[in-house]
Amino acid sequence: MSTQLLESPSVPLPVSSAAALELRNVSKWYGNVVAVNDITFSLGAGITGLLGPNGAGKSTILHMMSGFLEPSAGEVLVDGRSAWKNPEMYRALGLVPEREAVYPFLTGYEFALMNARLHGLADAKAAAERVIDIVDLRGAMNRRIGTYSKGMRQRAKIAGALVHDPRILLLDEPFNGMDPTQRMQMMDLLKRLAAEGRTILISSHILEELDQLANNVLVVVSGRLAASGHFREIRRLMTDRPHTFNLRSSDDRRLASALVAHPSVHGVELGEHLSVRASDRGSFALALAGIARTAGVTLYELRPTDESLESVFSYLVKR
Amino acid sequence: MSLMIERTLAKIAIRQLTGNRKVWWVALLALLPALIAFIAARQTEQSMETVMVETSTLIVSVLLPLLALVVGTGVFGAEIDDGTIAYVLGKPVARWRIVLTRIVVAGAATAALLVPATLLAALVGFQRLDPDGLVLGFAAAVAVGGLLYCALFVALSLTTRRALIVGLIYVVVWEGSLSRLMPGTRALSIREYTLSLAEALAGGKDGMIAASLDGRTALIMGTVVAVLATAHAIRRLKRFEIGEAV
Repeated sequence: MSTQLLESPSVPLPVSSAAALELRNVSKWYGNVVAVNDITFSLGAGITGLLGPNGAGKSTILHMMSGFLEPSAGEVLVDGRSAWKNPEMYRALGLVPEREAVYPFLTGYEFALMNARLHGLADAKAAAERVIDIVDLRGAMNRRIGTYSKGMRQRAKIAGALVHDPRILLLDEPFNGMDPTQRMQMMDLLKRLAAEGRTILISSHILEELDQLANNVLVVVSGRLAASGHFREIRRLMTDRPHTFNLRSSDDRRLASALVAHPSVHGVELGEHLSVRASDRGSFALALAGIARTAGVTLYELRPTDESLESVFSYLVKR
Repeated sequence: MSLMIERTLAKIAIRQLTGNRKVWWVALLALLPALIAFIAARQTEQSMETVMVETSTLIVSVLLPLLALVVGTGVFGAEIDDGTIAYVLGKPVARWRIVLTRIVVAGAATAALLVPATLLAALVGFQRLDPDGLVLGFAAAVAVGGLLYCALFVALSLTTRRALIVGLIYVVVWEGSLSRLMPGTRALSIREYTLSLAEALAGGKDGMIAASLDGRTALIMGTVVAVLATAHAIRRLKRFEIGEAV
């Protein structure tokens, strides 16, 4: 997959010859509200991140891939066959839904066993045992899921998704509620599964979650595919954009004149606050204290104005 | 996996129902007929037959539809509400098998609560279990009626998020008020099918059960309603969409 920012949402991405998952000009609308707007991409083996702010349409895309939503237009294909009204595709597909609820009256083992049996596995008990070990729930496997922490529930859900050893995995915000150690373990597991040739799609609204995991990233903003390509490239586009900060100090005018001489500063504006636009957030933040001290100005407040993910993604769309 | 029923799905449904507080509250009502019979046997001046007719009316007209409504709408309703339906639908299991399993579980649960309650009321009222096969015939009709109601209410739960209210309107308005005002509507009433079956199975003894349809017609009509409701439920489940919020 090449790295590109998409000027037009209808620009198709290269279609892999061995695409396990494919969307062809897919749209989904509810009445007058367009949730997904003419998206085309295909995915083969490896981990792909589906990134975007909350409400961007990530879950709608995953639900359509999961066969839980009918596309209003276009086609969603899993292994070359339509995902909608096709229960047989679940033999190759493992799903981790975003919603937290898992049958609270079942134990972790019973939940894995239930999934194994519904998949019709010949040795369901052995499959359940195996997957309980994979997600490291052995110690709590006989406890009811209702007593689990959020992270343990996530692992139980992942166990349910992996029990039939699927070739394709769709994970909707899988790291929610996991502590850093559990995240690392889960990332190692997903990397291992991907190395075995599986196709894995992970949705997240947190860029850093996908940092060490996904080589390829699809960025969705307002239902449109805004960017796609290698993670590092997307990341660079995001971090290299100008950053705006509001400053309050003992002497805004003097601080402004000192700051404007620094190479990382693109521009300053004096108003109610001192507003500074910096090209490189890291070097500006490092230099700021020194500049203020040299100018004899006391800093009271430093506040980034556009650090929300929405603004980052909007920047990508405008590019 | 048996031919018709998916055992794992049945177990999940049973555990969901037994964990549903609403079901237990309605189940407590199932003790009402026995309680009425107990009090009547000691205090009322009416004949025991009259009391038992009142009790059987209470069972068929109130308890059976109410219990079936809560159970029938509950076998999918809870999963739809909390999103766990994704764990059932995301499996290579034919949708007809899922629907059929849930209807059978709901019908069996309704019967498991009401049939013993009916037998207990008869035992308390008549001081013996089954005079002339009347009670067993009535209990069998209640079990069949429960299954018919559950087929209808399961279909309703896959059709509207307000299945409980719509079901209540059907029971109270259609079966309750309209069937009294317009007797023709009884041809489309599960309560009437149940009463007619009870009359046929109990042999119409002593005119204790008064129904407007003959047993064969009731059975045919009931089967048609159950088949249509089941087919509708399967069709709905095949096209069931889990929204953005799920």
